[in-house]
Amino acid sequence: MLSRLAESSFWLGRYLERSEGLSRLLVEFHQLLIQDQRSHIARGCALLTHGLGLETNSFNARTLVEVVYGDESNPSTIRGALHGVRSNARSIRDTLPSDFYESINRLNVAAENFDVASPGRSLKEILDRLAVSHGIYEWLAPSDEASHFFELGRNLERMDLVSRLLAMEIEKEWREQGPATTLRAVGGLSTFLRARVPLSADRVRAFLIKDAAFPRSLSEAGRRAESALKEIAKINGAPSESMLRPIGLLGSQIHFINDDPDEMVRIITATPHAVESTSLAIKANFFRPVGSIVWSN
Amino acid sequence: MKATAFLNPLDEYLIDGAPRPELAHLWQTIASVGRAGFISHAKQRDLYLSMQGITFTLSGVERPLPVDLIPRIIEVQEWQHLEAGIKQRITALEAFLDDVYGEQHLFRDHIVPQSLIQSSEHYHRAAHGIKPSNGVHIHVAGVDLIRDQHGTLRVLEDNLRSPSGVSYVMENRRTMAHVVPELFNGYSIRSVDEYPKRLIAALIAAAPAGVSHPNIVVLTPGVFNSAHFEHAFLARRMGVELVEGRDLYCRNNKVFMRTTQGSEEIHVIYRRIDDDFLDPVHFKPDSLLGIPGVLNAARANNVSIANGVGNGVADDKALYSYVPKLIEYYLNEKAILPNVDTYDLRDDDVLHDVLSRLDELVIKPVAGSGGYGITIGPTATKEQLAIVADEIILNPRGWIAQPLIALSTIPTIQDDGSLSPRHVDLRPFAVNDGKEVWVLPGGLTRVALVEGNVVVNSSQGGGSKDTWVLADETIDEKEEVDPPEQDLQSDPLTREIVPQEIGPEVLPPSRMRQQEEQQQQLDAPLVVKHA
Repeated sequence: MLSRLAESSFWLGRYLERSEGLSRLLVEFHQLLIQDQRSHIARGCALLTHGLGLETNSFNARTLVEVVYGDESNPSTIRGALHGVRSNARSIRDTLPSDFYESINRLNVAAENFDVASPGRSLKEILDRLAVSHGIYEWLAPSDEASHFFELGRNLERMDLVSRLLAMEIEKEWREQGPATTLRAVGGLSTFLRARVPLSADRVRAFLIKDAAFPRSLSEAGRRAESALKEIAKINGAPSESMLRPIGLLGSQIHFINDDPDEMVRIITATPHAVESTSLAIKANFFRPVGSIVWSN
Repeated sequence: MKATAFLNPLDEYLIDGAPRPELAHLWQTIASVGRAGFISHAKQRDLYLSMQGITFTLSGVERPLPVDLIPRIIEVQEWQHLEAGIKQRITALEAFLDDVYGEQHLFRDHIVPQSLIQSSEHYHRAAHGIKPSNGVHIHVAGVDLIRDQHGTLRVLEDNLRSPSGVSYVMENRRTMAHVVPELFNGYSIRSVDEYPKRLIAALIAAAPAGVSHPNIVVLTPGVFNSAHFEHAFLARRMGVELVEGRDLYCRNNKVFMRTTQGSEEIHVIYRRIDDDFLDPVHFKPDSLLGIPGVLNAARANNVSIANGVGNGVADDKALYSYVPKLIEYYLNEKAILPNVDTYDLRDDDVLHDVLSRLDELVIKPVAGSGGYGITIGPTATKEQLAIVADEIILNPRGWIAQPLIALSTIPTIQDDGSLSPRHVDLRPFAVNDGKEVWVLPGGLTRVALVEGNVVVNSSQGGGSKDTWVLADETIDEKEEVDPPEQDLQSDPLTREIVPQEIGPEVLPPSRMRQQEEQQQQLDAPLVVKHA
């Protein structure tokens, strides 16, 4: 398939997941912080922005919303990720189901109407639109090579976001509300509680790392990324071992993890690196950037 | 005539039109939101509640329990007083239940007349001799309080069977933070999120002796029950199964749940159905909601039922007036929270006096709950009063009379966005795990949405308010939260963060220009440029 198409599908998946993940995270963090005005607010703002790699001097709930919602020029923010969604979709609109493209445009309208004074409502609106886009893609997009790139992007981003969330250690620092907030930030509270174990920081960490049933755990997202990558390699007749290595290794570490908190920290720290390596490997193998033409005589 | 027109209720926000000092900041924020702001916030709130499915079923219709957007504030010291009072009350009532269903010392010591207890329709002989494994009968309690015209908080009634409303306390906080985040600015409020954790811990502690990993369920009457949302909420938040009677059965004095993998034994049932429906073997034989044989299983100590069977005898409205006496008897302490004066109509003189001034008093049926059957003297017609008088004479044990108290008011948002005072009460919730009675900071503030109305029950169309217990600024929670040995190395803020990856620019401006130029042939006839 067209290299540009593959790359845009990949990034479409990543940015959709990123905008969804960041929106949920901001909704829940905002809830946590406005109810805790006194001791933790500055610390909370610092943890979130540091964890996302955003620069700020944000010290209250409102400026935090402004920074994390961000603007189009910064793809590490919600607005920037949404812009990435729309740009990638626009550049490959001929290949996308028209209903999906329409849903992306509606999403864009929701993003334009964002109201910083009412982040809960605005982000909920965005999350609703994102859910529609995801749903339409699942229903209508053909299971072709492009969809494997989309799926790969989505799951790599998922791993990246969950590991960043865990690195913030919200569940440890807010003893009462932290564990539930962390789970809500990835939509996993109900699934966690179905296992009938009490909510605690360590259990939440273990759940988000290795739970086999929850689609956003590092283990499950890793498995899905791996299988998408295998499909891509098979279709293109490319050797897959070296590309699979970073997440494969991470997967086996997670598979054999014990309850040692330090081991969990090692996995959390290693995940963004594994994601980055995989991303670079597929870029080198399948995406042909402009300027990569080699003249021969 | 308004029920309280001749009394001057106390307003919890305003004194002579000016806000109390600690509320000045909030009052200013409220003013800055303004009428139009509250009208739009109210729309948002309704949408949010419906979307979240936070509902209350009233006369068969599912509707959102309206939460008013102006919170109630309880200050640190008042809360400490309340907390101590509730703990004391529940501890005494717990001792009372243990005594009534056990050795009955209180009758020998003439603390409460035996006839009063045994004539209570909630006194269940069938529960006599059932010893809960950790001694707890009242796992969850809701104590209804009102503030009188002098500012004193008084206990109006105890709810020791299946007090409902706690899910709304937690959801109200989330709803407020979602809809009116600006109001929180400048206030530090104690969290209400701990409740499910406390409840599950209390239920685990209540498990039959020898069971270390109990199987716990929440037993609901079903989706048509007014509090079904709450049952589902608690089951979900505690991570336990929500079951109906038909999902469970008893065999050999043990309780089992029907699952795809066969039968699974159940050790603790947090039941939200009344005693009468719980076990057709002992109570209503035609109950479709209960589990035949469950009481025998509890007696054999194979299952724990929470709250205990027969608890109703302790929140009977006729026993209510004896509670201060019970506190002295069992704890040797004076009651911290006063009762509302209550007339025991079994005494002929009292009966006579009450009948002569029914139009000044509030008359309540002893067995009723949910605000049903209450007659408010000053607002009742002569015919209504005559009917009540007849009923009282027929059955003095079935009624109590209390003086009318002007419930305190709090500004409440009206349909046009303006504020108007409305009467409120307060139901804090307590959880008893056998070692400690824990009180959820805050509770459900119920508000009568109709002007002058003093019946605040949800089943009477009342609404609610988020209740903020201010955090104690003198305790530095931060110290408590962070483990002291935490060194700088493990602080997430000092760790190096990999920047988020960024995709290529798919629509770079340089390309945009050239791509646009390609269309100029089409555009040319429309736009003529002159150099």
